[in-house]
Parts: sequence; structure tokens; C-alpha cells
Amino acid sequence: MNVDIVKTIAALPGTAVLVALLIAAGLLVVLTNWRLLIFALGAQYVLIGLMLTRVVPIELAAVKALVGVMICPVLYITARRMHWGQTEEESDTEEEGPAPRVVRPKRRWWWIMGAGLPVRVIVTALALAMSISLASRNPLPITADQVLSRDFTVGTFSVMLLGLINEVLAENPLKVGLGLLSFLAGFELFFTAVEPTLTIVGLLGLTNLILALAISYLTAAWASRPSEVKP
Amino acid sequence: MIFSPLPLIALPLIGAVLTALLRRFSMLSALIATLFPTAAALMAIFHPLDNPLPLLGRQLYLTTPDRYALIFLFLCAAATFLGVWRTTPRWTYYPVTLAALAAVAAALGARPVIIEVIGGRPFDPFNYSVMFFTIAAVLTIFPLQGGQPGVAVGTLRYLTFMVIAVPVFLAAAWILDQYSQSPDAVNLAQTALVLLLFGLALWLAVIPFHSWLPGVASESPPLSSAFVLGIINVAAFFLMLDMLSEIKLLNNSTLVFTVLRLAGLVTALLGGTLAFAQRDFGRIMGYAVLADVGVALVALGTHTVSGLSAALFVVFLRTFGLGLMSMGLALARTESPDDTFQSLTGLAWRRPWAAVGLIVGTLSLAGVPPLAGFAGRWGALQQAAGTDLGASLALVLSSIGVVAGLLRGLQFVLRPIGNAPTEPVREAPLTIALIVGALLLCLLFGLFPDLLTPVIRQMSATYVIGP
Repeated sequence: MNVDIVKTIAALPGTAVLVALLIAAGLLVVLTNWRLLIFALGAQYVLIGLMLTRVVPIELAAVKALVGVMICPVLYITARRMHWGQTEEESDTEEEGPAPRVVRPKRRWWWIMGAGLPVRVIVTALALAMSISLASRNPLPITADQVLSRDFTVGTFSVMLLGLINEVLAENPLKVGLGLLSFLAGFELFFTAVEPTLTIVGLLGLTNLILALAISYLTAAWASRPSEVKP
Repeated sequence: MIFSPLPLIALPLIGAVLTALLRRFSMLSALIATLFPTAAALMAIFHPLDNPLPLLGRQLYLTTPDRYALIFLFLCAAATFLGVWRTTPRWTYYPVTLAALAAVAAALGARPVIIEVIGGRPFDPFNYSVMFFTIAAVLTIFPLQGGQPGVAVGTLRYLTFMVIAVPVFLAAAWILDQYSQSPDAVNLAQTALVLLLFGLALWLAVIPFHSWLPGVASESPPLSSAFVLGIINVAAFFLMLDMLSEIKLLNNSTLVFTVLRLAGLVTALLGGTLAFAQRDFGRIMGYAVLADVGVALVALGTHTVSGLSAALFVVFLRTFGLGLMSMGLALARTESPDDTFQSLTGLAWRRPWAAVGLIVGTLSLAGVPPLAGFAGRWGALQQAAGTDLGASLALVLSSIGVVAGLLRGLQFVLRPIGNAPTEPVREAPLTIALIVGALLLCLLFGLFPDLLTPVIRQMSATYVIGP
């Protein structure tokens, strides 16, 4: 029955999966809320797994998605323990009530989008436009099917480029780490399609898991930093 | 099976598990961490370990150069673990670095014996090596961060560069595979070459991909930096030699070696210049290693067997200076918040052994006679002078830069603290023994570098490098 469910999901239209993948990858750059970021990362891995079902055996694609799904709880637990990126002093201030000096109240969407939203939206849009145009002109020879090759190339280029942008724009290790994981995930979309070896998939999965642990460790260290702004 | 490379992977892994289990007993953990790599190295010294071992659909085997490289890396790691025991009391260091060492062993040994057998594919020699090496590099993030609050920027950059290198190498391998099926497609060969050179530059911290190196050297615990700079970076160098030797496209290309030589020149020159401009001994160590990487690349770039030997001398002999300097820094760091000149004012009076390690180590890294680093640099200098006098001048300048940086710091280190006589800290006998041992080795290999000649001759003869 489970196999039937997976087969049904795998039968989703390729373009729909690709569009969803691009949206998830874009959200990883645009958002700053840690909960949503981890959710977007999980969605990205599942969508990559779904895309892969079109060119590799379903079991191999499932392994790829599973590794991603295993990474998300690691990051989630770390993020939760680190109060979702707020320093302890900020958390304490919130619990104690309003700050003594008058501050402009933050809007509700601030915690989701954060500062620099317009820049990140523009950069994301430009990156997507660039990678789609590049991939449409020079699709990688992944399969004999031209449309499928183009879809995979668009997915690979976009996810890798947005991952790189995430690394460059962010300074907190969680976001940089999400950028690195996206960068690798984008490449794996291409590489698993052309090199569908279980050992390589396994080793890449192991690399991803160790990378996620390293990111968690760095995130914990970052969150325990002394506050730079003295009250 | 016993004469396969399996013990070189299994022993560090067993050591990692044991040190994690016995983390409460620091002395026992340190002993285990030291003994297991030493045992692996001794096993590799007395047995060739060249029986192929089937692993994950591949044949794991050791070539002569890789065997010597692993012996060297394992002995260096064992010495580092002793130093860590005397300076850094964090238990996580041993299990994580031992696991990284096992991954390095797998990276250097994981290549197919008969390439055609692997799934009928004609070419695929280094995918596994790249993956295992990356796992080793990512594992070292834990000791590099070393439990400090706030993220060290250098550590994050190091992680970024190492991860970015993975797709670069794997894509190069795929393109080479395509090229082997259609040898007329020259553009494929060119793309693969560019990607391989890019990946190697990322691994070796060649300028402009060096930004993590001074950060790691100054912000991380000194012996963790030493592990990355003296073992992981050196392993990357040996993997590069394997690739140059095994991939004909690289080996036959004069352009590749010219690029390596030019990149090496720029790296050596800028490394030396930037070392001069620092006000922090950790950063001087980082830039000194950068300059040394450049010197090794210049020697290798001559595309001759003697150039390769000179590069190997540089890489082997770097370790003594690096170990000594990082040991000195680690001792100094036990009472100073950082490695800045200001923080280490009066170090020579407070902790004379730390100051000795720091000064002699830096001089060796700079290639000052009669220390170990000089022997390596002299060989490289002779190679460079044979082809280009300007190149040899650049190498001399890089050494001068590092020495000048040290001299700037020395005025702080040697400055007396006030007028009252200062009682120096009494170091433990084992700590002094470690520093004296490293110092003697530094002098021994500086005065008699020929001790390494038989090993390096065998390694150079086995690598297929040269026109």
C-alpha cells in the first residue's frame, strides 16, 4: 500500500513538482524565521526526491528524500534549544515585559521575513530568472528526454545558485548551513540522475548528515555568543 | 584481510569509540588516542598492506606513496594527541579527530584496482576519495570550534569551501567520464581540467580561496588548527598528487603545471607579505602555512621528478615547525585570551617553553636554517631557480615576510613585565619533553634532511608525474 502511495505521488506532473521546488528553494533565501526555514528545507528534500522518481528507481529517490527528512529534525531540535535564534537576553527581556526605552513595535511579519526583505526577494527573483534562462538554453544531457533534462537542469541550477546566495547573504550558521545543504541537494538532483549508484547516494547522504550535525554544533555556539549590544 | 588497508581505517575508528567511552579518564583517552594511530603506522611500516580489500563495490588498496603518506599522517596525529592532552582538556577532540583520520585513510586508499571492472565504466577513480575526504574535513569542524561561544568565522568559511569542493570534483569526474567515451570533445576535457584545478585550489586554500586559513589559525584552539593544517591539508596535497598521477589528462598537460606554479608563486608571495602585516601569532601561523603551500606548488609546478621530490620535502618538513609553533601557542593560550602580540607581552618571561616553541616553530615554518623547514624550502628554491629567477626571489621574499612578522611580535614576547622579577610558570615535565622532542626533530631534519630521502625517492618514483 505504501508503495502505491509513493507511486501515486511520483505520478504528479513534473512541472508542478519543479515549480514547488523552485518556490521552496526561493523561500529558503527570503525567509528568516527558523521554523519556516527548516520546514522549507524539508519540503525541498521531499520535492527533490519526487523529481528523482522520474529518472531513478523509486527506492533510490526515497533514500534521497529520507536523508533530507532525517536532517530536518536535527536542525529543528537545535533551533528549538537555541530559542529559534533569539539570544537569552532577548528572551529574558520579552518575559520581563516591555523594554524601558521606547522602541518601535515590530510588525508580526517581521519575525518571518526579517530585515533586508526587498533585497533578498530581488536577488532570489534574479537568480531564478538567470538559472532558468541558462538551463533552458543549455540543458545538461541527463536523459534522452529533452523536457525532462531541461526540468532537471532548471532544478539543479536554481537550487544550487539559491543555496550559494543563501550562504553569501547570511551570517548566522543555520542559514549558511541551509545554503550549503541546498547547494549540495541541488547538485545531488543532477548527480543522482547521472550516477544512480547506491554507494554514492549513501556516501552523499552520510556527508549531508555529518554536515547537518556540524551546522547544529556551530548554530549552538553562535546562539551562546555574548550579546554585542550592551543595554 | 590483515594485510589489506583495513587496519588503517579500523584502528582509528576503534580508538574513536574507546576514547568516547572513556572520556572521563583524560590520561587514558590520550594514551589510547596516541597508541592506536601509532599502532596503525607501525603496521603500515612493517607490512605493505597492499592486498586489495573489497569495500562498497570497490577495491580498497594502498599504493606505495599513499602508504608512506598515511604512515606520516598517523605519526603526526599521534604526536598532536599527546600535545592536546597537555594543553586542551576537551574530550571531544580525540573521538572526532580519530574518526576524521579513518576517513582520511579511506580517502587515500579508496580507488579501484582495475578501473574497467567497475560497472563497465572506463573511468571513475576519485569519487569515493572526494567523499571520504569531505567527511574528514567536515568532522574537524568540531575540534576547530572547540566549544567556544560564538562562531569562529574562519571555521564557517572552511566548512563552506570544503563543501563547495564536493560538487566541483564530482562534476569533473562525470565530465571526464563523458570525455573518455567521446575523446574528440576537447571542450569536455577543458571543462574537467578547470573544475579539477578549482577544486584543488579550494582544498589547498590557494589564493584567493585562502580566507579561512588565517581565521582558523587564530580563532580555533591551536592544536585543532594544527590538525587541519598539518593533516587534513597535507592529505589534500597527497590526494592532489594521486589525481595528477592517475589522470592522464592532468599529467600530460603542461598548462596545468604552469597554472600550479603560478598559483603557488602568488600564494607563497602573498602568504609571506600578509604574515608580515599581522599583529597576531595565530594569523602569522596561518599565513606561514599558506606561504609553505605555495612553495610546495611552485616545486611541483616544475613538472619534473626532482620538483616533485622537493614538494614532498616541503610538505613533510612543514609539520615539525607547525607542531612546535602550535604547541607554543596552545601553552600561551592557557593564560591569554587570544594570540595577539599585545596579549602575549612578556611571554618569554612568564612561559619560556611556550616562547621557545613559538619562536623556533615560526622560524622553521619560514624556512630559516638550520631548521627543518629550511631543507624543504632549499630544494624548492633550487627547482624554482632552475626555471625562473624571479620565482626563486618570490620564494625568498615569502620567507622574509614570515620572519619579519615574527620579529614584530618578538618585541612584545621578549618585553619584560614591569621592573619586578617575574616567576616563570613551571611546565609539566611531559610538556617540556614534547617541546624539546619537537625542537630536536626540527634541528635533526634541518641538519640531516637526507634521512627522508629513501622514502621520498620511493614516493617520487611511484607517482607518474613528469613529461
